[in-house]
Amino acid sequence: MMGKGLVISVSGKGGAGKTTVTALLLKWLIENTEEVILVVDADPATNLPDVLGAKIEKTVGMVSKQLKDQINMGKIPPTVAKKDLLEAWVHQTLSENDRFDLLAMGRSEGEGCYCYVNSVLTRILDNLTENYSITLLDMEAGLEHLSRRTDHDVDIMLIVTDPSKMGFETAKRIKELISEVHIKVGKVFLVGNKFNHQLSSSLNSASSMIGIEVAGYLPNDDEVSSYNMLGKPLLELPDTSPSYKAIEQIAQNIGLTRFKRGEKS
Amino acid sequence: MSMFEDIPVGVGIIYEGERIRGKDMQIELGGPREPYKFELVQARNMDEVEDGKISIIGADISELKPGTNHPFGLLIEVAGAGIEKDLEGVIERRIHEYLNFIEGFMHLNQRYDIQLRLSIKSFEKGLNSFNMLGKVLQRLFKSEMPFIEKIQFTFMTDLEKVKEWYQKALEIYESRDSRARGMNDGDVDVFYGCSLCQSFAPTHLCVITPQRYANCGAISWFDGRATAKIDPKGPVFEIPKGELLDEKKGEYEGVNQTIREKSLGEIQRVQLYTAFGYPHTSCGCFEGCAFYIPEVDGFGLVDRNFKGETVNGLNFVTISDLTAGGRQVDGFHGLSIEYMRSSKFLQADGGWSRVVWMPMGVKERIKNFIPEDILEKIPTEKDVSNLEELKSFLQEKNHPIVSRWSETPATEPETPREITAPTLELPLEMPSYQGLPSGIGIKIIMKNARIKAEKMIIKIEKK
Repeated sequence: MMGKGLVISVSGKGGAGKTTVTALLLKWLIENTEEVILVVDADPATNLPDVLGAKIEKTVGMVSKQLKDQINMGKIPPTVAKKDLLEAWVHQTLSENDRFDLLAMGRSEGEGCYCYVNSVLTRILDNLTENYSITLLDMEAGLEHLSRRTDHDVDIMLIVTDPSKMGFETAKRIKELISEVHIKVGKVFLVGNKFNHQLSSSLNSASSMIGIEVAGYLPNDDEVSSYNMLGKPLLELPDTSPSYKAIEQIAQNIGLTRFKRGEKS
Repeated sequence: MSMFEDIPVGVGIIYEGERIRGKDMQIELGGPREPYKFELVQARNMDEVEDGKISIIGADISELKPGTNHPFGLLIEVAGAGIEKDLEGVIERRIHEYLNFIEGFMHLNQRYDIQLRLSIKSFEKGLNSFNMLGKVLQRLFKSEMPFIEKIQFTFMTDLEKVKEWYQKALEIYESRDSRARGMNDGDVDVFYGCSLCQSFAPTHLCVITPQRYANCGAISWFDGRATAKIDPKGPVFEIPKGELLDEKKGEYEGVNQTIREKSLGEIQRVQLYTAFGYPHTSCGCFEGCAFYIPEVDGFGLVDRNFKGETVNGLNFVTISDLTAGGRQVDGFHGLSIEYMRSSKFLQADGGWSRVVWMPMGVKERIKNFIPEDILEKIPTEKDVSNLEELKSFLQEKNHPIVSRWSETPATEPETPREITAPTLELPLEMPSYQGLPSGIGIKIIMKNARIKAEKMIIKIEKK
């Protein structure tokens, strides 16, 4: 029952649409599978809770700082093991929703040495993800978080890009970085956001130049924009929305259909 | 495991780390929404404990309202010839581990902060009574800790009873902590080493003892024990103390051996409680620093949060550069704030009576641990801002350091044992180096050479 689940990470240039892709993919997983999903918002801006309509009271960054502060003030009783304290606090930051749990990493650390706190944290987070058959990570723009905070390997990495040279450049840099950091990545896909049919050919040529397969692209979708504008959770987007239709295709292309109800053996 | 045949769910290490989601839980015991909860182990006399007895005060699991949290207390009483009061905490920490072995059961935190959840699935499989939890605990405790001869359990969910014991438990934790604060290096056989910072300072190793926290302030001896237990080959590991070589300076054969090994021979000896001679090395992320001020023969202390200039005109960054990097630098000593609370703090150098300056922020934080007769004699940035003012302040307050000034001869720190080698010129018989034009003599000067050369300069001399 416990064991390694599937880990999907979503990265890309800032503003490319990582959070939108994460939210829509979650919507697809909720509607098409039986799985309980762990969603990790690794972006310090912590936008995902709003986009998912979930409440976050504390972030992991906040509780590690809390631990650090209490250590500084000499408030932790000598025989109390700090790893057990932090473990409990991290669990208590989890926002528990009907079909998914949301963990927000938040802003990382203040001053001073976090070597010990971070090494304990890595173990706690690894342990936590083992409880879920699918983990979705919404990354910050770089790869730093991934290499520093979570040791475990990523099975599917989606790199989101908008139709811009910077988006493609970032995708290229991320691909190069993967080989430099010590994490293992199973399969890497490029996902376009705000592309139309004409621009999609540029996505394809960029993909072959960088050497990443295209998983699909989301169209320029006014409905998504207006949801974001009004602060309405994207999970409530109607199934007929063109973006959701596109995500269905992407889910299929990256091999998630094996989790579909009735298809899982 | 045949040991648990009568338990309707699995029991074993494979279930450790299982999270029970709010939606999947039958009941929550304690937890952040519940003010009254505790777990407590108490050592008793042999005749006070009935082995295997399980009592339930209040509703049993099956009678508790599903889907919500409840007050909860667990009192475990143990007896055995080898059981002392000091073992209570050690036994208590195992509750976390053992309850997490149960399929569909989650245990978080400790003492008065516990949070326990039972899954609906395991409840439906038949795990519906505290009796079963008691049986699992009894068998695990007795097989893993054979010195426990008798063990009995009291599960409480009755609010009044939990409240009553909660108060008692708080007092017991408090007295246990004050005992632990009084724990000495001599009370244990092993220390812990931490090499987490070796990526920054490859020759640095923190030695963690009951009376000396890691430099970062995050790892106590108890943390060391807890961390080393889950991953003994990890960055935090046991150091057998070995023979005590110098009580006052804090030197142990086992510590020296480990340091030699982990610093790849760079550091040969470490004395834990002095800043001179063979001081404990410093990583790069220590919380504070002790720095020797030769003009007054005393130590200044400075911490990372102090942004200004210390009394000798250096700021934290400069002092920490002089200290860091896994070296042994006479008079520059990285340390944790918690170590300043230790009774062995710089003990070989005179302890607090040798401290002559510190920032107000730190002083405020640790004032209860500074001997009362010295507290007012240590100036901060509010009192003095240069060495002249410092000297007059110390004299005016009659700081104990002043008596050292008149002592003859003045106690100087041990002089470094290094000798500066004369510049050696190697004989002319040199191997030929490729790429050098022939017919040109070379001179090799080894500068500052000790055991190995820090620098080797190859000069081409013009004839």
